[in-house]
Amino acid sequence: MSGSLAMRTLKASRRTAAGAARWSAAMVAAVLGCCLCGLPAGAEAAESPAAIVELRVFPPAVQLDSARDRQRILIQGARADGVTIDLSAEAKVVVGDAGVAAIDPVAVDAGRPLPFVRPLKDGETRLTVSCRGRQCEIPVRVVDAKKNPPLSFRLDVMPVFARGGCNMGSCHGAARGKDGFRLSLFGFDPAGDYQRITREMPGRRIDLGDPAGSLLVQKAIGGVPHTGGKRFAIDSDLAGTLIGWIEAGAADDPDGAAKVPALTGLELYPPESLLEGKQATQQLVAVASFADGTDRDVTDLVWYSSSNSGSAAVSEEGLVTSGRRGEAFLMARYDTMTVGVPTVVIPAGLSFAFPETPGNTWVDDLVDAKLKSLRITPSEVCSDEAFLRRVTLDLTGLIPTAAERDAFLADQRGDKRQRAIDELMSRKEFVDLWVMKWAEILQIRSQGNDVSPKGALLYHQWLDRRIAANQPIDQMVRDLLVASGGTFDNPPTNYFQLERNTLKLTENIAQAFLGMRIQCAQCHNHPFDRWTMDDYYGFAAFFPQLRRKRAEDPRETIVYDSGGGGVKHPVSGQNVAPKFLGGDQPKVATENRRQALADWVVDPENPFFAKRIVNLVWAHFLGRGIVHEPDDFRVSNPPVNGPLLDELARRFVDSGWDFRGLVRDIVASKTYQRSCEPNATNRLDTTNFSHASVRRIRAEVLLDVLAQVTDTTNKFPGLPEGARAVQVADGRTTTYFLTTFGRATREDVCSCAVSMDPSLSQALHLLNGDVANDRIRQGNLVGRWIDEGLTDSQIVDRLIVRCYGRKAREAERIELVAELQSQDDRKQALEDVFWALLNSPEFIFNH
Amino acid sequence: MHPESRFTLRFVHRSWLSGGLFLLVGAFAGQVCHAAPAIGRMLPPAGQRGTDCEVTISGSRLDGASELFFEDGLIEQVGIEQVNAGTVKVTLRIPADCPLGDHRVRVRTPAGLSELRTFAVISTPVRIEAETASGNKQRNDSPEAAEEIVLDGGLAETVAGVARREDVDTFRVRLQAGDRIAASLRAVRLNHTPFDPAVELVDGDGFVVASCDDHSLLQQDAMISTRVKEAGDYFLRVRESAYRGDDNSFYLLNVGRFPTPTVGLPPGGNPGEKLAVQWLGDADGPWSQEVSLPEKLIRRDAIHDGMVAAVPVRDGVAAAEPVPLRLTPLPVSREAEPNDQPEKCPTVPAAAAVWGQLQKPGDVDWVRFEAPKGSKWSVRAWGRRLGSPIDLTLNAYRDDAKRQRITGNDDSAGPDSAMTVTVPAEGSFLVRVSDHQDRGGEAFVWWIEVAEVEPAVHVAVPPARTKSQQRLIAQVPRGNRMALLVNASRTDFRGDLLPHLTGLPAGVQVTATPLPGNSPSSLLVFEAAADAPLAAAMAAVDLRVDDADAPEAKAAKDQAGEAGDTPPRSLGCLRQPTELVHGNPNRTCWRQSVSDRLPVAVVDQSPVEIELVEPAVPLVQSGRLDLRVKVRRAEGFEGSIRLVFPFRPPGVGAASGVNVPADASEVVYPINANSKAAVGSWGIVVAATVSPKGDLAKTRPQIEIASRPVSLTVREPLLQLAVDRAAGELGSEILFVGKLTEAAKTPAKAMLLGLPAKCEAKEVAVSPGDEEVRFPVVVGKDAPVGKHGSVVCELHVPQNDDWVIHKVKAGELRIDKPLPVVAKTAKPKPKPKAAEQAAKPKPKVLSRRERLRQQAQAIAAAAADASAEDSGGPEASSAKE
Repeated sequence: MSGSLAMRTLKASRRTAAGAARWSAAMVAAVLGCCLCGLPAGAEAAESPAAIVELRVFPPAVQLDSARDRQRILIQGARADGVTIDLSAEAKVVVGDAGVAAIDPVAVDAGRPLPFVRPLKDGETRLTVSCRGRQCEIPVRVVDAKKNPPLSFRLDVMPVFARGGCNMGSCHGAARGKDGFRLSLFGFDPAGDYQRITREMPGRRIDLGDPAGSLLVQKAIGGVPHTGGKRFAIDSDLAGTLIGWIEAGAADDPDGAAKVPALTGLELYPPESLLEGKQATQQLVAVASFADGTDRDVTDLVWYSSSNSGSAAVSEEGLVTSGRRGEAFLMARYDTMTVGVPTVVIPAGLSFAFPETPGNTWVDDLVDAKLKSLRITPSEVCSDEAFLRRVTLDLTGLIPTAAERDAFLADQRGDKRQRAIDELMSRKEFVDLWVMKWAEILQIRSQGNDVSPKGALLYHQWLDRRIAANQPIDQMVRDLLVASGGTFDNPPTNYFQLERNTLKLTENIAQAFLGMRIQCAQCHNHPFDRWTMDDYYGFAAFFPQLRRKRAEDPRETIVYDSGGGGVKHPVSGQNVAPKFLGGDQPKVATENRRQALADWVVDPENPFFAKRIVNLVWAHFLGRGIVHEPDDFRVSNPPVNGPLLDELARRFVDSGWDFRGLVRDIVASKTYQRSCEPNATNRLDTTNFSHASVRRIRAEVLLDVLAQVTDTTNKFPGLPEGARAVQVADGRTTTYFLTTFGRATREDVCSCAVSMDPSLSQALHLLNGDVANDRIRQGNLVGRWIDEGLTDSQIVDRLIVRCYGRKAREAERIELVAELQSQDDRKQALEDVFWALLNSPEFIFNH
Repeated sequence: MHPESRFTLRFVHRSWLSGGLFLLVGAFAGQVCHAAPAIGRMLPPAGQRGTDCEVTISGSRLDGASELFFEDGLIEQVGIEQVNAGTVKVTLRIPADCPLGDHRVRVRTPAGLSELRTFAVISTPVRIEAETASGNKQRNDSPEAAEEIVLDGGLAETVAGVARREDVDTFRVRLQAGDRIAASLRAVRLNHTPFDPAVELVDGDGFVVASCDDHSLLQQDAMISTRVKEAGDYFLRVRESAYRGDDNSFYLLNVGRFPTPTVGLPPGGNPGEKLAVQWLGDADGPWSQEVSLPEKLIRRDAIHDGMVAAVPVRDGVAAAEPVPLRLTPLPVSREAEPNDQPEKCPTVPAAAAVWGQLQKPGDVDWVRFEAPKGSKWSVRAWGRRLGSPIDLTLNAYRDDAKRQRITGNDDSAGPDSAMTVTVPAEGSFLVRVSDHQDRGGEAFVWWIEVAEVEPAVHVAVPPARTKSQQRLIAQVPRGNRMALLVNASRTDFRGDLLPHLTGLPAGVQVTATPLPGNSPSSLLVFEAAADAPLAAAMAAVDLRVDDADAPEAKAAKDQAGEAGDTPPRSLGCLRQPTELVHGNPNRTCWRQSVSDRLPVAVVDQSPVEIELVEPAVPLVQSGRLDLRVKVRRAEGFEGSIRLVFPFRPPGVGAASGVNVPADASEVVYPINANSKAAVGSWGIVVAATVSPKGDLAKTRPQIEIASRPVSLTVREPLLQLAVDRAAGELGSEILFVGKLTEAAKTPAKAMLLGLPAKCEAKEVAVSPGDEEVRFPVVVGKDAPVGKHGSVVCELHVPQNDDWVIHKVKAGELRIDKPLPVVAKTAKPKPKPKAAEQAAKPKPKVLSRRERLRQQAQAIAAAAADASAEDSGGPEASSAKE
């Protein structure tokens, strides 16, 4: 199935051509062999803290394909506590058959001396690596040792521009080039680049008679004034490649791209590192594999970057240097591919013991595993009061009533939290909340003459009925993606009315259902992700056959597939065949393209969809996604806990896409129920869920909660009186309050459309605006309680329970009552207390 | 495509359904100028037949209201009470045999008729919703506050209510286990505001048992029926579909146990046929009923697309909503399944009607029609108009091996289809019937008719303002006149026609100008006698073929002899749509009513009368004419008068209007003709909108009147003149020369108009025998220099003590600056000697790369000289590639 292929591609694993099948078997053996490397070579199994318990050698197998092929060997040692050490310079490497390959001890231009394998003659042998009493072997295979193939423009020259930074957006990769010379951004158009280098202004950029004197070379090496400065040295391999290619006639690849083996994978080694203390180093090695089964050491051709340079900085040569405690994702870009590896930096000499964690769920186990590697102790589980307020707000968008609170606290059963979760999830308010969340993703709103308020309401009702019935999410999304017919008759068709531009619709669908922001690839290959223009237009090709016609009701539109039409690739000008993102090219000659797409999106094998959904749900409850933002899945934005995301997604799919089950798994975990009080180890952690995060209550819920605690009702246009803000069907319906508190207008599919950040205008609106004050008066709770004959103390108690979901602390009560007694107007004073409570962070935040 | 929009067609169907069993709601064109009375609301907007009912009408300018004028005259008014200037109470007597459905109605006062509204006649008593009756005090928005409805028998109860903004009206019904309940909502069919209703039936726990927003039979209106499983209280909830109702969003909620079929099978038949119809779409499944179709297809059927409404009856209980059936004189046959391949399809000789069903999703049906090669056939399909949910698509193919597509259509007849097919050489063609979205099912019934294309003409009065009812009907002041324009839509007929009106009110006469084949419109000028009673009547408009002089007509007349009075041949009639409801988007017409008769009312005198003086001279092509209009005002009249020229013969233009100055008793209305204006004699009028001031304005803000028609002759020019271009300098005299195509026979005068500023030309006399006209133009010294293309020549030829005015565009006038005086030129400098030039060394041309290299070397040298810190490379140079 396409999905599995996509999965493989996502991991950028090697694909080997048929001719290399035997070799791939050898590689598997090598990987297995590598696993055994932990065995000590001798009897002296080291007991000291610095002792190595495992020796890792990368790449797991070496293949040399031509006379000029080279491969760096990376050797990493792992200590018993998981800390890794770069042993490349220290280890001893021996070639089994010295006639087949030889070791050059030091790389010419790399930052660190690395063993360097070069071919001597065709054959196979093994490399033996030994260090600190441990030993390991990897296979070496040499083919075509005497052949020196001509330099290829696409395979050899284009990477020079990428590594030199020549085709970056700020340089010649800009849309109009720079200083009169243009290259395609990150090399998305090699044919165009060849044309511009060799044919634009003939004789200017390259000089076949004086290759080294060519302007192309001279500019790059700083031989002539160059705005971009010196990019590399004249004696570097990069310059050598350029000069060599010009010397050979500056020829294009025969038949253009057709015969050039495509890049099929990129591996970055080592796959993970745990560095201890500052200034610890680790060299990276990158290996690219190609469709013809060959591979290539591209360590000096990739562009390195780090997501957190403060913790792990990476040099242009791929040398990682540790800094302060933290995590970093180290990335390498080569041609169209970007890959990354995680690195963790811990302080030197840390004394750490992870606490015993009885009662963990599988979610907690996976979260704790990551925390252990980070040497972080999670916070304690929160109190019952805190739990009930938090879970009621998160599951229903309301605050627990005093009666609910009392009943919960009085409940002595061991599983009372689980029972409370189940009870809250059975309420209509739970449905309302998730309908609102989905309405944001599906952008439910009225829009001019395209979507009437009635259309928006019907669309909302359609969603509401599906969420209420707990319809499996895959079915719901499939129904939406294939929807045809009238926008009143079959309301999900409104989705295609809300965005009528094919490319934007493509981007919306990728972001909403796959969590992919592919917008960049509309104009050039994505610089920080794997998406190329071919991927983008291939995906867009699922939608150009959408057509619309007016229905019987003048406000209604019929959406249907015409069976004709295509999307043109802006580089080639040709229609592009539909192709799944990172997947197959389906045969849709006779079938509905959207049907094929929908089947692929919701396929259990699809690597994106389930993860996107579970991440969304996780982010709702934990305040931050495993991938942050929840719809920004990207190679350069990896999950903070990959195994957790994978397992959540796997179980979600296995459960038959049971949405409530997913919510239950998350909410029932100790991870969700942790206190927001941090401890010494997790105080700085904001990403690994080691403690609960304090979250501002989102706009709609806050307005509903204000109405709830003041015993008032809301009125929204287009909804029956008393409807709650979370029930607003039309995204265009809003109030000043909702806008100020960051409600999404649903015009943008991006999760960032919902603002959860506190702001000054929000505070001022609550303090000075009419919301809190008017509602307190309108609801007249204080007046009613005074009429009931309650004392100040009792009323204060009731207000605090009502707003905070907890009892008043003794100090609070005494102070407030004393203050109240000094006031003349008792009702006014009590209402002031109420007003103050509504303006306090404890009310406005979920904690 | 039919000239009307698809929505128009659809709502024609809707209005058609309002008749009772095979009774067609007559109804006519509505119009009103906003001077007339206006209805704000009618409460209740419906009455039970066989009873007397009181209806309260509130609105504006209702003073002196004398009747609720039902256009079909079937409902009797037994009393009227003027409550105040804005409210009238009317007692109506609705006969027991009055057709159910909408009845077109207007209020009549001495000032005229109001705009068109509809009043529903139903078979159940009407109760006003408590919330509405109490002025919104007894809210029924929740189950706890729901209003009780007691079900008994078939149609139990009808509630007239209002769904205000964000309002949900709730009604409680007590049902037994297995009880049937049905509810139908009449809302968009009742209102003049766009009110799209929705109805839900929920059980005691709040779960929706049945709901409907739009219905395939009722479009935006709703209907539900179901059998409940458990006994208990159930709640009907009525609301605007997006909670956006208003105080004028009236509805009639009909609750009972009536059947709710959607479509009949067969969906039509021949006149007089007893048809065994199987009704489809009811919650309890289909059933059969014998239906007698009307004996003949009358004209009113035709303007309603040949649709008649039948009331299905099941177990003695009649349906609340009639179902349409198609009446056709063509032979009718049924599709023969399997016909989803052309090889197996039935063969039907044209002309014919065929019906069938798309029984399952993806089903397509094929029919082969046989017809003479080369003949032209209209292929029309009915689906949605019959209540079927189908979105019909028709495609015609050649009946040969290749099956080449001839033509196709999706939505030309609203959601239904219509196309014209010319029969290819095979003498037959194939028609493929399908649903646009490949849906199918029991109710997906279709009906197609293949008939020869026949000539037909309809006329309609265009509203004075689009999307309004303004000036759509005749309101004739006593002793005065009113003119209406009618526009014709023709099918396959280009001959001359004469509108013929019958059924006018007493004392009213009409002058109808002929409708020649080359004119899209014609005038109806109504004149009321000074003593004509204040009354209203419905006039029928026939379009008679004006072929009395044709040989065939003469022969027929001779054959008939003196005794045999051959009636003139009528080819069409009025087909007047009146738009009733406009809604989103862009105030699209949501509902209209079509009539074949025109309301004509006699109203109070007008304080102003106008007379158009018959022009003494013709209007020539490319000429102009000043019409003289005399205005007579009643003593003490104050107010404004604006003249318009409603009917323009082809090629004749006129100002959009002329305001009459307060003290003028005669004004000029200029008209003109283009070079292709239709030659002939045309009846024309000038109409006026009189806007009085003072007390009269309160009841009659505007009064429409017209002059008597007079004859206008349009003819070819008497003289042809061609004026050549001319040019000259500032301060000079330029001569324009015009050449006459033939020598002038009578003295005439000519003049140039449109000259640029500071240029003057005198009028020139043309004498008999002249073949040329010369216009000397004196160009001032400060006249604008350049080309001037706006010069026009007018040639005035005397006739009948008046002038026939010809206009000719003169050639371009070019005004030049005088050439400057040439100044003495300075002596040229001697050229440098060749030897000096040769002495200068020629600079060596360096290549770009060499220059950059030298530049880099210079920078490096400078850096070395400075011998300061290492600068780190040749960056930051200003040199660019």
